[in-house]
This record gives sequence, structure tokens and C-alpha cells, in this order.
Amino acid sequence: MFDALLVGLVSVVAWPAIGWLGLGVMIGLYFGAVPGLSGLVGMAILLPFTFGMEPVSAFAFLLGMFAVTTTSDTIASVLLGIPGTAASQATILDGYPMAMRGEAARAFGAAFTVSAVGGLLGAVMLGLSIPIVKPLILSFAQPEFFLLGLLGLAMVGSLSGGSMIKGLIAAMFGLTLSYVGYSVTGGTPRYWVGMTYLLDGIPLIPIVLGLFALPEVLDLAIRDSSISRVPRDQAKSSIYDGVRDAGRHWWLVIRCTAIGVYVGMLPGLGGSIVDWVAYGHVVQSSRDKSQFGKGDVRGVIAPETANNAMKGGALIPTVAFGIPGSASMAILLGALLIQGLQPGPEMLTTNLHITFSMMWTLVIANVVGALLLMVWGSQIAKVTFIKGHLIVPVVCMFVFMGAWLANNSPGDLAALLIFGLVGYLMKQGGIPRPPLVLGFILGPIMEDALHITMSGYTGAELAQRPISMIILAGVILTIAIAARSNLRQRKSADVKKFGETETWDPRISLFMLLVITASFVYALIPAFSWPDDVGRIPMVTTIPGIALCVVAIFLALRRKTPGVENGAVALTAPVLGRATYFFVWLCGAGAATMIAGQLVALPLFMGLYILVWGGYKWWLGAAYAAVGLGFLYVMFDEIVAVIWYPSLIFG
Amino acid sequence: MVRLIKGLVFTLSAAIIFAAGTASAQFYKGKRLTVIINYGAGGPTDVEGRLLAKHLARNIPGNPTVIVKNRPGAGGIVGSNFMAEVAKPDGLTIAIFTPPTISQLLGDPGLRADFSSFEWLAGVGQPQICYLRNDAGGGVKGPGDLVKIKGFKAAGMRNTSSHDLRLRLALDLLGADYKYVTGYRGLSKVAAGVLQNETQFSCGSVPNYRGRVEPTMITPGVARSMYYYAPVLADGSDVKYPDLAGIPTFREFYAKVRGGAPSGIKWEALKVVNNVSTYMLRGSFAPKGTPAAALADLRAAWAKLPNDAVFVAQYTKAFKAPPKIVAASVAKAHIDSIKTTDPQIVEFLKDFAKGGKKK
Repeated sequence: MFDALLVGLVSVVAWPAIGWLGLGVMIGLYFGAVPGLSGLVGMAILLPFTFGMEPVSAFAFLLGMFAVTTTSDTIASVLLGIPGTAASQATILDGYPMAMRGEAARAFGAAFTVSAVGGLLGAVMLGLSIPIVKPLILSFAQPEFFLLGLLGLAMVGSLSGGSMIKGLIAAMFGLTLSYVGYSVTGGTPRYWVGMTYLLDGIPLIPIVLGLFALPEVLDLAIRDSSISRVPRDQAKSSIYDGVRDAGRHWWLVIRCTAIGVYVGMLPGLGGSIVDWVAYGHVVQSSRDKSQFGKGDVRGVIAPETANNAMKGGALIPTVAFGIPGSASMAILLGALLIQGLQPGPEMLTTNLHITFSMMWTLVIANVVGALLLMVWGSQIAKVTFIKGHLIVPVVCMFVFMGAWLANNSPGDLAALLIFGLVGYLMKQGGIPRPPLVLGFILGPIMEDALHITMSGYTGAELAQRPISMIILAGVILTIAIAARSNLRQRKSADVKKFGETETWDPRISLFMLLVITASFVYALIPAFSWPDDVGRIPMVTTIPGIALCVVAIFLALRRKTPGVENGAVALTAPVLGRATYFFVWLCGAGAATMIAGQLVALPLFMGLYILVWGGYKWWLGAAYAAVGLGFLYVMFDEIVAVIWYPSLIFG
Repeated sequence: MVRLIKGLVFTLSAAIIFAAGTASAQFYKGKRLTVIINYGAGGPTDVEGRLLAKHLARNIPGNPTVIVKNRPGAGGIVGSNFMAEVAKPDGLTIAIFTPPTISQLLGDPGLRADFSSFEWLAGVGQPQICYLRNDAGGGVKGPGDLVKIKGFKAAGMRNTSSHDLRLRLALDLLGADYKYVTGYRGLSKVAAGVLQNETQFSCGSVPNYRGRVEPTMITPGVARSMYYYAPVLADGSDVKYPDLAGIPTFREFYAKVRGGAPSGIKWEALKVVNNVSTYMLRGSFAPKGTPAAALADLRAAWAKLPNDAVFVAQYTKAFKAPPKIVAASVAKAHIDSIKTTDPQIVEFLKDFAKGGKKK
């Protein structure tokens, strides 16, 4: 095994593999940093270039790119509150508040350090785990996946701060949204209202960008302050503070590395939830929870460690068992086959050196990527001190393009705007958004697993699965701990919330609860007429969802002083007016896209925003629009080869 | 005089061919050809489509630059609607799809494209091979045990998919005692389920079988191959694939374990679903109204691929089987056969798919 370890290292650091690795890292940093792009898009674009390469170079190129996307995705998460990739959603919860406090550099320092360490330690842990990999992977089948999904939902208690009921309602809402489109067994499309776009379900990226990015952009546009509320001369944090934070929380880093490796190893589940599992873990295991959601550096360290450590874990089921855990790993498997290699037990025996060369690639890429970002981090963090009106247009461009990349459909833009509105109202109404995303991600995984479990297993067979029993016990324990801590918080005079803004308006909360209740009722009615395997899961979700909503509405109506909660200020009419006006602008950008296509509409939006909202001179607006157009053309047309909307004017 | 006429005809023909060739070469020279794929990045359709697109471009006169774009969704339906309603017939956009032919056969409500209306360029076929775990039903010693063991679980993806329809029709014809478990998203998840002994039987395309099933299950002795679905010709004979020598066709398997030949509506339905799904596992076409010069170049490029040694070597290395390309006219005939399918068989298949929960 030691020989294979060494041979793997030598083959990666030899020319030309190391050159391809370096190129892959540079490309990966870009794909991670731009919201909407991701390691998956990068893999698909780079794959054809590897057809003629020899195996080690090909994997150095692909994995070098793939490894660092979850390092650079921190940039958008921290600076803008937008997840750079799906794996950095949990980072927003504390990363963005840190940026608002003028501590973006510190957040970067911590995130980049733990990304490198997580990648490195993850590979070591994986190497040590190879003897137990086979029984571990083979013993996690559909019943275990369903229960793991349930465990993820049980963590809603940890993600919803003071209001567990609202957290559960948001999770149920997310689950219900995930049922749109063809049911797992096919044949019956659900809630598609005659729109082909919805047949395959609502894509994740427009939902996440809408829920998280648009409310923050809207906030910046209304306030016109910089992202950092603290002036530049008073902000004291540096990259090194973050590095020190990472060192101080070394035990957390090790724990989250283990979470990353072992959750990542579970095919089909790992990558999508590993950041949430790590975040849930750090909140549950911390004594002082008061700062989570307000800029606690541990809330950045946990997910950022896990999402890099996860990649080594995800590699193993792919190469050793031909079970790709994610779409990116499916491409890697394709590359493996194109290279004439076969996944199978030989990848852990006779071809172990190739497997190790892949791990070394991950290690080197993680360290190099993190070092590069450390060097640039201080400069990047300065974005937080730029005036809001100069940032809003470019962020809007990324958000619109990120959403568009999901399906290249006008439906993506509609979904973005609708969930932007939903996200803003949820934020203002104090309904936590993270559980919605978690429910949405877990919905299809759990439905698939439940369906196969119910049709493929008997009760006696299920009872003989010890791992299922252990996870079930974990679910019960998690709920019990969350309920206890929730009750304690309620009893405590000093109610500490996290995960959402402290200021929220009970009237908006009530309105949103009514909207969600109506959605549950709408989803429940047709479920009665569907076949069992199609309607079962929507019923199981919406009926308790309605019950929880009724309780939450009852509690909201009992409030004697509507408009004030914990001293919070209700949403004022001028703020609401400005928000509506900005939302109209966003809709205008969407409509302009339909008429003239993105290459005209988005630069136009950027230029006009600078002129009208920003009040800057015309030449600045024109220059801004020109640079935006150039960026769109080079980065999205030439590199990503995006399908632009066939506009009404230009065809 | 005759020689003069012959000479003139020859010269004129040569001039026409040359002119057509020149005009045709000019069509793609300096242009960009966009290839649309109707599944997401990284899936089997995408990987195969990108390899085909790369080598197709090398064989098109004028060597256009090629870019590949994914248009995924709804089991390939979104991309199909895109090609019918949005893609311009200017010769610069073509499709390399896994065409959702069964969706058209069964009348899927979301599918607005009529596949017969497209300008077909070629088809790429691959049969499916079925495999069974050796420890199923207490132990499998020979292929014939498939019909002797009780209560094994057969894994599928979606009850209206050609994979599941063929799997159930074939097992029903054999009279096997099985439990149908569907809902796995993709062939690799199906194979993972069999590897984990969650299910014991399923089928996969040749690339799936050679690339994933064989190294993880067949070679280590966990499972064994049973049969492959060979297309059936009009004269009733099987189309046999030399690279699958050693694995019986379904009909050979049936004759061995049941005796005689399969018959009845299930057999007729299996032939319909299998023929179009096997020959047209992938299909390439252009929008209706694409210029004739572009179509001629594209079809000629597809026709060259089976003899392109570089392509064949890369394809065979990647998919563990030689490419099985069918010409444009054959592809079109298979697609047209969907519309001429006996309505009785279509109705049977619709009912059969609905009943596909459990045996």
C-alpha cells in the first residue's frame, strides 16, 4: 500500500500531469467563484479535452478543477450571501454576517485554511479507511438513505433557531416543492400546471439564488451602504485572524473532516447535504449558540471543512464500485471508462496507485487553491467596502445568469423572481429559509428511497438491518435534543435566535403562513386521486404541514402586540415601497431578456441602474454596461457556451 | 457519338459533383455547429454525445467548430420540444439525443415534438444485457434457474421506460417468479442496487454492462449474464452482435429454458419496444427545413464514422463495444414505425405500464 501511495504521488508531480493539475486548479477557482457555475459544469466542459490524454494527466486536470470549486465558492457566499455552488449554502449563514461586520478577510482566512486542511486530512482519513470502505458502502442501501434523509430533516431543529415550528413548516414546504414534476415511478406528472418546464421539477439553483441572493441584493439597493456596515478604517480583521481561528478550532476541523469523508462516501446523498450536516453538528455541539447566524466563525469553519473533505469520500464509491454519488462523479466515471480503466475492486488493489494519484491530486489542488486564494483574499475582501449601488448591478448579472444556467429556460428566470419574493417575505416574516432548501434537496432522495424500501423490503427484512436501527435512534435523539434546547430557549428571558434576522414583522409572518398553508392544501387535493405510489408522499408531507401551519397561525393571532416582536421594528411603508420598486426593476430585466436577449437586457439593466438608482454620471453607466457585456460574452458565451434566450427582436 | 455523349455526361456529372462538393464545403467552412444533447452533463447520453460530436466535426467538409449544449429535462422531452419549436433550421443546430421514443409511443402529455417530422441523420444502437445475482433465491447454478427461483427482485427505473417495459415483458414471457422494484434514477443506481443485494436482477446497456456491471459483479462472481434483447428483423430472425458472443439472445434463452418460441401480445409488444429502443438508443437529427446542402454534409459525415479508425478506437475503448451506427434512412424508418404500430399493441403497453407496480 505504501508503494502505491508513493507511485501515485510521483505520477502526479511528474510533468505533464502537474501542469494539467495547475491549469485545472485555475479553471476550478473561476467555476467555483461564479454563482451558478459549478464543478459539474466545469467537468462537462473539460471532459472532451481529456479524450486524448493519458490517465494520470486526465484525472489531474479534471480533479484539480473539481477539488477547488468548493474552496472558491466561499467568495460569493461570504461577500454576497450567494452560494457559489450548492455545497456552500450553509456557509452563507455566518459568512455573510461576518462580511457585514467588516470581517470578510477573517472569514476567508478561516474558510481557505480549513478547505485545505479538510482536503488534506480527508485524503488521509480515506486512505486509512480503505479496509472498511467496502462493507460501509455496501451496507448503506435505500432504507438507510431514507433514514439519513430523516436525520437531515431532524436537524431542522438546529437550523431554525427560536422557532422550531416555523422551521418544520419551511422544511415541509421545501419537501412539497420538490414533488413538482414526474413522480419517481413515472407516468404521473405532479403540479406541472401544463408547463413542460415543470415536468422535471423546479431546478435547485434558481430557488437558492432567489431565496438567498435576491433579498440581500434588494437590501443593498435599498440601503446603498456597502456590504460591510463597518467603515473600512474601523475594520480590523485580516486573513491571519481566520487562520488563527481555524487553528483554535482544530478539534471541530477534525470532526467536520470525518463528517465530510463519511457522508461524502454515501452515494447519492453526500455532496448535497454535507455542508448542512456539518453546520447542524457545530450548532448542536456548541455550548454557546448565541452567535450562530450572526457571524460565528465556527459556522464558516464547519461547512467549509466538510465540503472539501467530502470530495475524497465521494471518489471511493465511484472508482471502487462504479457507483457515482453525484453528477460530477458520473462524469469522472465516464472519464475513467474513456481512459480504458474499469471501476471495480481492482482500483483498491492492483490499480490502487491510480486511485492514490487521484487522492494526491485532490490534496495538492486543495492546498494550492487555498494558498492562491489566501494571497488574493485580502484584495477580494475589499469588495465589501465598495458602495452598494456599484455592486448591485454586477451581482444581479451573476444571479440572473446563474439561474439561467439551470435549464436555459425563461422558467428559470420566473422561478428566480418568484423565489426572490418568497425569500424576501420569509426573511421579513422570520420564517427560516435554510430548512426550505434542505427539505427541497432531501425530498427526491427520500421519496426514491421510501418508494424502493416499501416495494422491495418486507418488515422482517427491515428489522434485520442494524444500521437502519442505529440511524433511527439518531433521528429520535436529534429531535429530543433539539426540542429540549428549543424549550430552554423559550423559557429563557434572553431569547437567542440564529439563522435569520432578528427583526421580523408578525404581519408578514402571518401572511406567509397563510400562503404556505394554501400551497399545502393545493398540493394535497390532487394527491387523493393519484395512485398510491404517486400521492403517498405528498399526503404524508402536506397533512402534517397543514396541522403545523394551523398551530403557527393560532400562535401568531394570539400575539397581543402585532407589529412588534422582541423590540423589532415592523417593516415601514417607505422601505416596502422601495423594495417593490426594486422588484419591478428586476422583473423589467426579466422582461427585457424576453424581448432583446441577455446580451442586451443585462448590460442595459446595469447601465440604467448605475444612472437611475446610483445617480452616477452617464459615462460611468455606459462603461459599466460595456464591461458587463464584455464579461458576459467572454465568460458565458465563449467559455461556458451558454444557450442564450432567442429574443423576440434578435431571434 | 455515343462516346461523346458518355464523355459529356461524365464531365457534366463530375462538374455537378464537384460544384455540389464545393458548395457543400462552403456551407460549414468557418461556421459553428451547435450540438444539442437532451440529457444533463455527465450522463451516458452526454458522454457519448460529446465523443460523437467531436468526431463528427472532423468528418464534415469545412471542419466547423463544434460546441455542445445540454438541454435536459423530463426524460429528454424538454430537449425534443426545443428542437421542434425553438431550434432554427439553418443547418447550424443538430441534436444527438436519446430520443424519448417510448414517450411518443405511449402519448406522453408533455411531448409536443413529432419525431417523424425531423430530418434524421443517423442512429446509434446498443442492445441491453440482463444479469442475475448468483445468490438469488438461494443460489443460481445455471441460466435456467432464472425461471426456477422464487421471489427475486428485478430492478427498474420508471414504469414507462423502455428499460422497465422490456424487463417485465421478458420476465413475464419466461414465467419467472419475481418482484418488480422500480424507482432507481439511472442504470448506475440500478447496478448499485444489485451490487448491494437490494435487488437481484436487472439489465443495462452494453456500456453500462461492460463498464460497471462486468468489473464489479460478473468478474468477481457476484452475478452472471442471462440474455440480451436482440432486435428482430421482419423475417423473424434475431440481429446478433458479434461483440456479445457467448451471451444468448432473449429468444435463444427462451428456447433453452422454456422450449419453443415466445408468442402472444407480450412478445409482439417486446419486439416493438426493443427494436426502436435498441436501434435508436441514440439518434441524431436536424430541425425540419434544414438546408439540403447541410443535410448532405451531415449525413455523409455520419456515414464516414464507422470507417473512421480514430473514432472507432476511442469509442470502443470508452464504451467497451464497437459503435453500431445506422444510416439516416434506416433511422427514419425506425422512427416512422412508432406511428404505424398496431393500436392494439399501443393500448396494451399503456395498460401494462400502469400495472407495473408489483407482480
